Amino acid sequence: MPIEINWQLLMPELVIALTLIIVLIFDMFDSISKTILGWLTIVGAGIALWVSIQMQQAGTVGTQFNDMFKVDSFSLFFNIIFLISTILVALISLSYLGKDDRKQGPYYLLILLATLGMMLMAAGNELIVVFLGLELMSLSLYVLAGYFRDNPVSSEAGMKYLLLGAFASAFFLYGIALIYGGAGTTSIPGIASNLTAESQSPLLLGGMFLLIVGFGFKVAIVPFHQWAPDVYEGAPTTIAAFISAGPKAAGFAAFLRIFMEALPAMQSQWGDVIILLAMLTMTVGNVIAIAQTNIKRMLAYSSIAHAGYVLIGLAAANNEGISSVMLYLLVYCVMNIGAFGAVILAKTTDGECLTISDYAGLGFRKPLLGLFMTLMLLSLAGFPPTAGFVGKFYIFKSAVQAGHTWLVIIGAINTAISAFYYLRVVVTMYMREPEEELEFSPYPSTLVVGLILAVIGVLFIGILPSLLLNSVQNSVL
Amino acid sequence: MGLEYYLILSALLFTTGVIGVLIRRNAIIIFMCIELMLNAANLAFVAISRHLGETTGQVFVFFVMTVAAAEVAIGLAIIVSVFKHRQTVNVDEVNSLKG
Repeated sequence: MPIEINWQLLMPELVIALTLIIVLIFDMFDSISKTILGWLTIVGAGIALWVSIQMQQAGTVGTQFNDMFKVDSFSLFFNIIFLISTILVALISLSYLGKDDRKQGPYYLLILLATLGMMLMAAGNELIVVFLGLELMSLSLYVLAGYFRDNPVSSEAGMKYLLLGAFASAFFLYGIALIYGGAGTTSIPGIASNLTAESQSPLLLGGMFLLIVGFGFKVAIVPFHQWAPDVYEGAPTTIAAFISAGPKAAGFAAFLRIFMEALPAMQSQWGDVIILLAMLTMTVGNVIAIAQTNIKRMLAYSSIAHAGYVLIGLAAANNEGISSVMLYLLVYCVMNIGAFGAVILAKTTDGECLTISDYAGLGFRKPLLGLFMTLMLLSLAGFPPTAGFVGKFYIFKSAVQAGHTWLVIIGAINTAISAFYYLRVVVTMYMREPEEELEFSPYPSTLVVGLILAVIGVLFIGILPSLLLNSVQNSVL
Repeated sequence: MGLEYYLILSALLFTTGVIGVLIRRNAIIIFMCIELMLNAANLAFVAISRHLGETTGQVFVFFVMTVAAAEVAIGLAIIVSVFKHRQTVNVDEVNSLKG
């Protein structure tokens, strides 16, 4: 039986796969300067981004490979999120990796592989594809977290991520097995059509909860979040930025696809669980973040709290909820990578400034750094006119429309708590005198370009959200 | 034999794996327990596939085996790199990251 392949539908994935192969080939030749590999990654991801935007605007829809792979505005919108994250991370990595040739090739190769995995997760219309995408992404990230092998802390982060990530994958897989038993198929539309409110077996229920556990680990939802602070602290800062952005969006993309498309008949069971997890995740993330002295750990707990805000949108489980989640994830990826980028920018001659007290007095002595950091933290805290405000506003609005007023009140209280620890960094930068004079390295130009792009994104979405909103609202499942 | 026997066996294997991950402290043994969990899922896939009389589950198992092999390759490499720094793979002693 000949299989007809519509190559045009697969363009973004193919461009990334091609870039990956080119990076792999270029890495073999000693005569080529390896710094070009980072630029290749940016160009490849840029082309894929452009193609995805074009396809999204044109409203391309279609399935491939026996309905296993589904391209629609939803998956294309998530492709845009992943590719923007990849470009920003590659930009901030160019200077971070330094001039060491041996380090460049595998790094960009793994970033591209992880991006491809995320794209497969968002487009997977069959649980097999979602699982394979998840593993492709996770396996690449385990290596990236432990990428600086000479550094004991980085290896340790790699091992912790590996053990907990593989543990979570096993839960996810067992959940798929049980759902296969309960619904008789692993195809997402197939599960939805086999499933009615009456035909629910304990197998399905168990499978659904195991899926929540598996996803919970991958996107760092409380109580499955313990790995996140350790991994973010130990991993190279660029990779911490990457792990906190794209993979989280990919996890939520697959979560939305599976729960909204395959298991809507069981919403009465999973809806309450999601509400409970949302409350726990926001509160625990924000409260523990207050106590952190290491800025990477603080950002890790803040990213856990942000997963909680996304869950509010998921709990709403209507079209507004989905579109607000998608908008929020885009905003979150840009501002979180920006915040980690600002941490990388604060580099002294002995290494990175990682304790919050190191930032004392930086606002005036390093005005550009102070500006970037302040803007990103204000956006994470959700102050207008930044993108973070717009994202939170639509999430809360969708939850109120769905009748979850209490959840929104808890979310608002949490936003207030989070403002405390974000602003503490800003206060430290502008109002404290430094205890010791630190020698700062000059700003690398590519990093500054990456941060300027992030700032433009944050302010653009914050001031003119309507331009993006239409596109998001047309992209719901 | 009915499907339930296979599912019970697979659930027992899975639980053994989970308990192993939670109580053992050696990274390699934890990793083996994770493999046990994956294989428990494989058993469930094959049994359900046979019960339903279709092949999706069996194809899934091939993919899972490939993924598991890749995971072992990467996992052991990471564990070796940790061992080089600390001369131990006991997860309680690998604890410089906490707070």
